[in-house]
Amino acid sequence: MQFGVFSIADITPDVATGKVPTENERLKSIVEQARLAEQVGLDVFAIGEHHNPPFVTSSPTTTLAYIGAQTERIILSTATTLITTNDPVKIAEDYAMLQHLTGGRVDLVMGRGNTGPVYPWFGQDIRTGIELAIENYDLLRRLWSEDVVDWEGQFRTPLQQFTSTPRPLDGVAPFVWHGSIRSPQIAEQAAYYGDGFLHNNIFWPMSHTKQMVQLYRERYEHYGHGTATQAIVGLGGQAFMRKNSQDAWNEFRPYFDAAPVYGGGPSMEDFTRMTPLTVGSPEQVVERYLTMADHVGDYQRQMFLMDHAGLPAKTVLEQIELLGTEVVPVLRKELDARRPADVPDAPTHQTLVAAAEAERGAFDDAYRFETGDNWTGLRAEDSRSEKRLA
Amino acid sequence: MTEPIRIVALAAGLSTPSSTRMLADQLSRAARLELERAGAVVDVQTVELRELAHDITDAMLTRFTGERLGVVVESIRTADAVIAVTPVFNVGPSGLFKSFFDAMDIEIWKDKPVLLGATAGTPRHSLAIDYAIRPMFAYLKSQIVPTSVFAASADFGADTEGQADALPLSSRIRRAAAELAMMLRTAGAAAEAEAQAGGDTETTADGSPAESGTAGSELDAEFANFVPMGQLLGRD
Repeated sequence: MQFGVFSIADITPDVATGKVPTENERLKSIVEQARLAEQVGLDVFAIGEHHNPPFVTSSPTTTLAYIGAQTERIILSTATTLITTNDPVKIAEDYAMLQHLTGGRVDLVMGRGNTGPVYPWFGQDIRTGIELAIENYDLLRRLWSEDVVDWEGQFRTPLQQFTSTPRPLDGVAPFVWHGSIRSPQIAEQAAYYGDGFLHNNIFWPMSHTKQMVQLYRERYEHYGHGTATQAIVGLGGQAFMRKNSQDAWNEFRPYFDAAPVYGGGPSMEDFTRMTPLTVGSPEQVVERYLTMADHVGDYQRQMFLMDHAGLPAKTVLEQIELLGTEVVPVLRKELDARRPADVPDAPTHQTLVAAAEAERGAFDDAYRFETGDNWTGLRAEDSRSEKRLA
Repeated sequence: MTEPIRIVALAAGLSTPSSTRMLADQLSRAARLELERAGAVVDVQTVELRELAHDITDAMLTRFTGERLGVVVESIRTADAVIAVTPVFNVGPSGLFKSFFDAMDIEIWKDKPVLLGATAGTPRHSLAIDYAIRPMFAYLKSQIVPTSVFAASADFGADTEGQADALPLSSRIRRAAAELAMMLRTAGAAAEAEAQAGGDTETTADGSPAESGTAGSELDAEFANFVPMGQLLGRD
């Protein structure tokens, strides 16, 4: 099981001091969080992508590559990659680059983005968000899996004899999760391709989460990727911890009450009851997150949002440390123990390479001037037509 | 018909007691009488939105429906008809009434029979339903009962029976209730005819499966709202 933290890199005033971090301070503190996340044994660090204030990560691969250079083990991921407003060609290139430079420590979570004006800024329309996500992602997969792509679609200019470079590391594309909170169509999309489904349920009651994950699992089985229980599921989470539970409540409440997303709305009591947000001691966080699998089945990735609501940088680091040292070791042990042997871990670059080698033999990484497919020695198109004939 | 006809009456009045609640009760009673006269069993649930005011605000801010509000939303989703009554403030529905609709999925209102009512201190607000409230239900694609009922304070005591240009409140209520009952009877008959025809409404004209996803039987309807990928990508 993988555990990680994600940040959407918002700039929010600290309600206790009134201080507003600069963009530079925020970016630096995010890098520090990622380094600490690796040090305390977390598996994944993910960063959001936004193209509007008050956010500071418009260019996730720049940030992730910089983090990648300062870490050795942690998987670098996104929360989320905008599959709607980004050109799939640029995503294919950027993340293949990142994959090479970080030794394959990359996966992506695809999302549509929910800020209306961002779409027209990038020449798109939010009303076609789902259609964009479907078409762009299908192209993205082809750009990674086929050396030479001829393509025509509705939303971008056609491609003739296009090769996305660099080719994916070891001939395998980064693993992809699809993030969706409310759209069954995205659960269906994830299931169709046998990709992961990351349901960031931090603002949602379990009654909803449960059904969304169940839909993905049923469709995953329907498409023949494995049984419903073997589907690759990730959840979101939120916690604020102090040794003493009451200290956690007292310290977090002013931040909760003023938080941009739920501030002025439900009480912290109601919100912690209805959503995964847990405020208390590390033991209470463990206790709460041990129950998630009872609702959604054994799952592969648990992400936590720790860096938000204007919490001071130092506090966020303390939270990541508590998570890594006191919460995750227990969760990892207990959740791995309860998971049946036939339910896989989340794919990593290593397991994807092993699977590809088992299926197609060793990968020849010799550079292909004559665009071709190094698995079969044939051009990608030829290898597909051969399969059709056979 | 053994299944009861379920009606949810929404009252968005702010005071207690409220004339909006009184009008909602009168409309519910009249609808019940009409339907019972035709042999139906009627179950009316009345909801005072005032009691859910905080939940409605929370839902607007968090974009998810809390537990108490969720119960009401489910009642509406499964109801055969809704009676929606609001006070008129500043020539529009009360903010509470509007917020309630803003906070929930619009899908549940589609094709839902809705009887509209409004109250105000003065008869000069009488067109507020038609100009400021009915358009929202047209947008939501509800089946709006043709007669909506407006009651000013004076209507609760007025006795103007026999005046052609000023139908008293009680006769307007009776007419609206009769129209709602007719709407439900027509819908019930259509459903029965469909069931007798073999219940094959899940297929399209050429006999192929309907173009919506098939979610597991335990999932709520909203989780079936997708198109199978093969169809979407033109590969099936």
